[in-house]
Amino acid sequence: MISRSRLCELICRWVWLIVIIRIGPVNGAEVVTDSVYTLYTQSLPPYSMMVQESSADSKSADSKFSVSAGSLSQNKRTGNSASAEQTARSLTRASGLAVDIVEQLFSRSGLSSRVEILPWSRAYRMAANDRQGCLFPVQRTQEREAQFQWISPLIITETGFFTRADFPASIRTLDDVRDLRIASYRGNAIADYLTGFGYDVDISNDEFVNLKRLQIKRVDVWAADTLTAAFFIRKSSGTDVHNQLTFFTTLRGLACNTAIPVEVIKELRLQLKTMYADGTIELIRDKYR
Amino acid sequence: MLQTRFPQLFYFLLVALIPALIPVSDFSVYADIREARYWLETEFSETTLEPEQQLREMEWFITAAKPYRNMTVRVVSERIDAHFYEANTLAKAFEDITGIKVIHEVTGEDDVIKKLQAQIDLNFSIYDAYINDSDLIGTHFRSNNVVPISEFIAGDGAEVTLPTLDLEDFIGLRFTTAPDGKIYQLPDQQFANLYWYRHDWFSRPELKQQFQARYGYELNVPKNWSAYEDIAEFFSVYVKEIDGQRVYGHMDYGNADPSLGWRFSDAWLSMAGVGDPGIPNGLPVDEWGIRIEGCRPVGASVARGGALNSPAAIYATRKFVDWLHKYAPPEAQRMNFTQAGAVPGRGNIAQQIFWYTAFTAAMTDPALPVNDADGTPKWRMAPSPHGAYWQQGMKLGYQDVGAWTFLKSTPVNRRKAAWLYAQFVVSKTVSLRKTLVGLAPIRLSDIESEYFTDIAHKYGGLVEFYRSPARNYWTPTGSNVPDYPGLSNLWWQNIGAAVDGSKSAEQVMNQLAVRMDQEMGRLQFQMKGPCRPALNPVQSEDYWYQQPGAPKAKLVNENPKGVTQSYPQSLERWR
Repeated sequence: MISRSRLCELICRWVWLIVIIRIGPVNGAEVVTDSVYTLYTQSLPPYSMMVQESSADSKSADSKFSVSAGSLSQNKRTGNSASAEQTARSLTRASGLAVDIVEQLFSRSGLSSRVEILPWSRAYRMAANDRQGCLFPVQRTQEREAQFQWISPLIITETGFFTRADFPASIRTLDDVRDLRIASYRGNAIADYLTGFGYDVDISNDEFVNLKRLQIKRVDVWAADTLTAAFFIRKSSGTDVHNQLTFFTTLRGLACNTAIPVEVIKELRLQLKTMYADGTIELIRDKYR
Repeated sequence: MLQTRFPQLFYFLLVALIPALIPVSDFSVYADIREARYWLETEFSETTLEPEQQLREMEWFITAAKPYRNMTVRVVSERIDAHFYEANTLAKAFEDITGIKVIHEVTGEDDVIKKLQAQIDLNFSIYDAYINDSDLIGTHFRSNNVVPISEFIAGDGAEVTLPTLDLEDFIGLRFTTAPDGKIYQLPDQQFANLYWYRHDWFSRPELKQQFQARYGYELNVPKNWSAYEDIAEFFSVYVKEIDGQRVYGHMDYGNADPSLGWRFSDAWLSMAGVGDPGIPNGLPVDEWGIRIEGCRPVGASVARGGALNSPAAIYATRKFVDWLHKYAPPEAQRMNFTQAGAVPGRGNIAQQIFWYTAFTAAMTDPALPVNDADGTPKWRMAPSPHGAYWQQGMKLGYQDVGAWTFLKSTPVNRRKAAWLYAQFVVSKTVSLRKTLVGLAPIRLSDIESEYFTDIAHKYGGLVEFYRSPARNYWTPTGSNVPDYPGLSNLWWQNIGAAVDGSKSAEQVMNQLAVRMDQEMGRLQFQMKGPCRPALNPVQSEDYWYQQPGAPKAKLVNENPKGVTQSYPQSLERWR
């Protein structure tokens, strides 16, 4: 039987949530605007996730997430969406590796912004249609290149082929998974990448579910971001899953609506470069390793 | 020769003797040689080397790789057959033989460039080596971010450079050598952009008769764009169906993504005749419409002496858009390079003016309707037809040279390990086999081998192209382009508006020329060195049209009579 806390956690992942974070201009930056940019993302620990405000100072990304999940699923149980959102606002906020980077990026650029966590396809659609919207952290691909203006890379990530420890074969190259059943999550460009080779990719909305499917042998391989996989493996106390091959490196960027003024985009690009140069990106990354 | 007739016997005898030559303590080397023997027997038996020469190359790799055993090297390349073979087969062989693990990522060409640019911008090592198109040679030699391989071989990399590398054997070396005389990149694969057509349909008497009656000349390989256009119209508008299937006289792609840019920057303007005569890229105006003085780009717009918005460039763009809309399958407008590449193989396309031979291996699948059951192609590739502004002595096509590129931000020991892998996948032991799989030849010794003679009939003209001097005249983007990653984006971002009809070809090319000048103006102050851009002052366009060469004034007749030639005659143009 599924535990109550697990049920809460599952529900919260399937219910889209809105948490608004307002960041006011902090310095007299050159790009001056009253606009509030909406930064859309999906829940994908440790990059973007809900955390409970009271635990925001915690150094452990894992504990932040677990606390958040319980709170939000509790809101859902009231059946009152307005109340749920209100409660969410008071108790939770968006956090994570990518959220921390974009918050600081917009703050340094003197731009107001808010973060919205939505299901992937909705977040993508909103960013494409909202003239003040951006999407993050997006795997920058040739197919997506023309749809947005890019501030990239926010982060450089890696994707691995994860298998159970008792998996009988070794995976040394991409070709070695050709005849295997592979789990991936919706919105992951890697899913499209593997599907493009004709591979058997089983897509779900939730990486934790993918881990479970791997553990109960519903799939042979889990193609997952290495940090996300590590997060969920730790969370499940799993020791039976390991990364056989880190097969792909991805530049993940901030993809902004094409209507956003080019001056704003240039300022964001400049500030991002500064964040790499002064070690800010590395510091944020270290926090989530 | 006995070695030729019984290669496996020779491998066995040679390897059986090797333990006696190796110190007893060094069993790992013996184990590696056993691995080498396994790979030589099972994978690399098609080679221009004798078996003992192959073994000696492998022994060298085993010894040279010792300091780097158990290291993991990460490299990246674009997504074509030659690189899939490297990533899936050669990386394994290299690890088995040397103990150096290689993760060879394959991704879109645009992604390769973005990653290379990110590593340069952030000064952060993402990959140990890139297989990067030589189109960036103008960027690399100006940027000081790339380690020239000629310097590396003479310096840090001397002890890890294969004695039998034989640089002179690489047919593309001139494309990876900059005006400063340094070799910046090592060619890994090459493919050209040629004309592709259904030889079987073009040979049908009833179609030949109909074409002759309608257009007044023979249905054959088009020599100019007028003939290509007539043939496109003939199949799409008048023939319409062959053997019960809707057919089209043209195939292309128009989706506004980076690959639309390559459709233009990969020599489309030179095929139209935009630039000046002169190989490899046209001098003083090249196939990007950029004018060069010495080694300094001085402008792309006509007002600055360039030709990017000249009548010839507008003509090239207008023909591209018109043909896409009038004669290609409707879905082509929303396709990109990768999606469009497979379409001619489905059997309903009569010809394609701009066809990358990187798709040759996939096109030879006997299951495709464009081949006979035994795999014999019903299609041929031939020299591309040229536009109305083209003149003898001008570049007529594009060649892609994917080449090993090493950035200065990569730690030197990692660079050395990656250099070993790079040399392995182009070594004479391996390169012929890789060429037969990927059909993207790099070595003259492979091209002139008997293996190539034996397979020529299977590839519809590819071998003939690479055995002719044409392989030197179909050239990559040259050293005039000072910042390929930055400037190449301008093409697709602007051309898309012509494809969707929101702007005319003239508006688009005027806008593109202005943007190109603006970017080069920015580079003029950002870049250092004697070859940075130096924009000409703006003058009247008439001034430039009155000068000899490009930019060329508008022709009175941009649609001369179509001219065709037989397939054998067309191949003569390569000689």
